[in-house]
Amino acid sequence: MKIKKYFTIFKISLRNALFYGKNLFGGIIMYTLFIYVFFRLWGVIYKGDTIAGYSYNQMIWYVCITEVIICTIGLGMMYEISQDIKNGAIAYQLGRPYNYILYSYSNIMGNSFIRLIMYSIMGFIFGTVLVGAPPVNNIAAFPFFIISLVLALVIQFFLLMSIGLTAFFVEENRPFFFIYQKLILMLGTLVPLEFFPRWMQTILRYMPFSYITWAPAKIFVDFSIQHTLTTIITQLIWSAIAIMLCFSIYRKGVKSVHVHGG
Amino acid sequence: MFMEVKKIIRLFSRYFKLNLASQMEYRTSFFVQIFGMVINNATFIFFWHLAFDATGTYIAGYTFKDVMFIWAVTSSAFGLAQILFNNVHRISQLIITGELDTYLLQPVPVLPNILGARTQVSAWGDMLYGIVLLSIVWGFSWNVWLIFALSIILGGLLFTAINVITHTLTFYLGNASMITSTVFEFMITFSIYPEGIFQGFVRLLIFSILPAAFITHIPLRLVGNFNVSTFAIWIGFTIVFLAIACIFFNRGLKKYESGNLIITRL
Repeated sequence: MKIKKYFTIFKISLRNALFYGKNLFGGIIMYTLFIYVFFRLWGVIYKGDTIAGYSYNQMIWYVCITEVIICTIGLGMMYEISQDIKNGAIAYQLGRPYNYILYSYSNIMGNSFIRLIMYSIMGFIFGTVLVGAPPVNNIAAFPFFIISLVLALVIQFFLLMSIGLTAFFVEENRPFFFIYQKLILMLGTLVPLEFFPRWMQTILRYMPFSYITWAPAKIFVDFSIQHTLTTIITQLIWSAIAIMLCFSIYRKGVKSVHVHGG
Repeated sequence: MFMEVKKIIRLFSRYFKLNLASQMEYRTSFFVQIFGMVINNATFIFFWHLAFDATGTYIAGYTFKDVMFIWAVTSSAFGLAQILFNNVHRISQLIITGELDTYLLQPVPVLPNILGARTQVSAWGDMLYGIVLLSIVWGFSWNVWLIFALSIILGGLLFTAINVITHTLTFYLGNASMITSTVFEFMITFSIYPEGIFQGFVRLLIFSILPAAFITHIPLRLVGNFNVSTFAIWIGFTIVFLAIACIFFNRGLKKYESGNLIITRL
C-alpha cells in the first residue's frame, strides 16, 4: 500500500519527537513569553469595551489560538530541507522509493503533531486561567474549527516547502522564510483582520496568509456559518494551489540538480 | 592598560575589514539578506500603527513615537552587536568541540578575539533600519540622536554581555546554547514593548539580570526628560554589567578542558 509507508514515516517522526521531548522545551518558553506579552499588552489597551468587534476575552483566546498554529510547524525543519538541497544530501533521497515531498510532509507532520497537541493544551490552560472559559457561542464551531485548522496547516506546510525548495535555484533563501513568516504574523496572527483598513481587508480575503491564522481562530472565537463556509472553501482552494506550486517547483528543481561526488 | 585597549581596538578593526570583505564576495546574498531584514522589521511598525489606530494616543504610557524609538534602538543595537560580535553565538560550540584552543593560543585577549571573529550580513539591515526609522519618526534633533547613538553602543554591548554570560554556563553545565537563545529572545522581547506592560517580577528582571530596561526604556526616559542621575545610573549599570560578564567568562575559562580536535582557522 502506497500510503502506508508515509504513515510509517509519520509514526517514526512522531516517536522521535516524543523521545527527544527536551527539544520542545524552548518552544514552550517562547509560547509562554508571547502569551504573557500580549496578555499584558491587550490588558492595558482594553478598558471594558470591544475593539474592532472583539471583546477582551475573545482577543486573548484569539492570540492563544493563532500562536498555536504559528508554533506548530517549526521553521527549523524547513531550513533542513534547504540545507539538504544546498549540500547535495538530497541526492540520496531521490533514489529512495518514495516521493520526496510526501516524505517530508509525513516527516514534518509527525513532529508537528506533537507540537500541535502540546501547544493546544497550553493555549487552553493559558486562555482559561487568564480570561476564563473560551468564548464559544455555538458547540458546532468546534468540528469546523478542527477542519479549518488542518487545512491551515496544509497551506502553511506547502507554502513553506515551496520556499524551502527555492534552494534549488538561489543560494540564500532564508530571507524568503523571514518575509513569509512576518507576513503570516502581521496578517492575522498578532491582530485580527478586522483591525485593518477596509480596502486591505478586501484584498486580504483573497490571499492565503490570513487563512492560516485569522480565519480558523475567528471560527473559534466568533463563530458564524457564513464565515465558516467561506473560510473552508477558500482554504480548500489555497491548499490545492499551494500543493500544485510545491510540486511544480520540485519538478523543475530536481531537473537542475547537479551532485558531484559524495 | 592603554596598550591593551589599543591592541583590542586594532584587532576589531582588522576583523571588521576582513569579515566585511569576505561577505562582499557574495554581494547578491548580502543585499538580499539586508532587504529581508528591513522588511521583517518594518512589519512591526504596521502592527503598532494598527494598534494605536484602534485604541488612541497612549498604550501603557507610550505614544507611537516612543514605541518607534525603543524599536529603533533595539534594532540598531542588535545590529551593531551582530556586526561586531557575531561569534558570541558560537561560544558554547567552541567550548564543547574544543575549538576554543585556537583562540587561547593567539597573542591577544581571549574574549575580544572570540567575539570579533565573525559577522552577520543581515545585521547591517537591522542597524540601518533603526537609523532610518528614527530619522523618519523623530526627525533631526541633536539630543535625540546623541542619546540614540549612545544607547546603540551600550545596548549592543549589553546584548553581547548577556550572551557571554549565558554561554559561559557551558563551562559549568554542558551545552547551554538553548538557555542562551531563550534568554536572548526574552531580552529582545522585553526591549521592544512599552515599559508599563511589565509589572511585578518581570519588572524586577528587566531592571536587573535581564537588563532590557537599560537598553531601551531608560534611554527613552532620557530623551523625554534628561536627568543627570538617571544618566549616571544608566552608564554605571552598563559598566558594572559588562565587568561582571568579563569576570564570569574568565572564571569559567579556568574550567575549560580542551578536546583533541585538530583544527585550522582560515
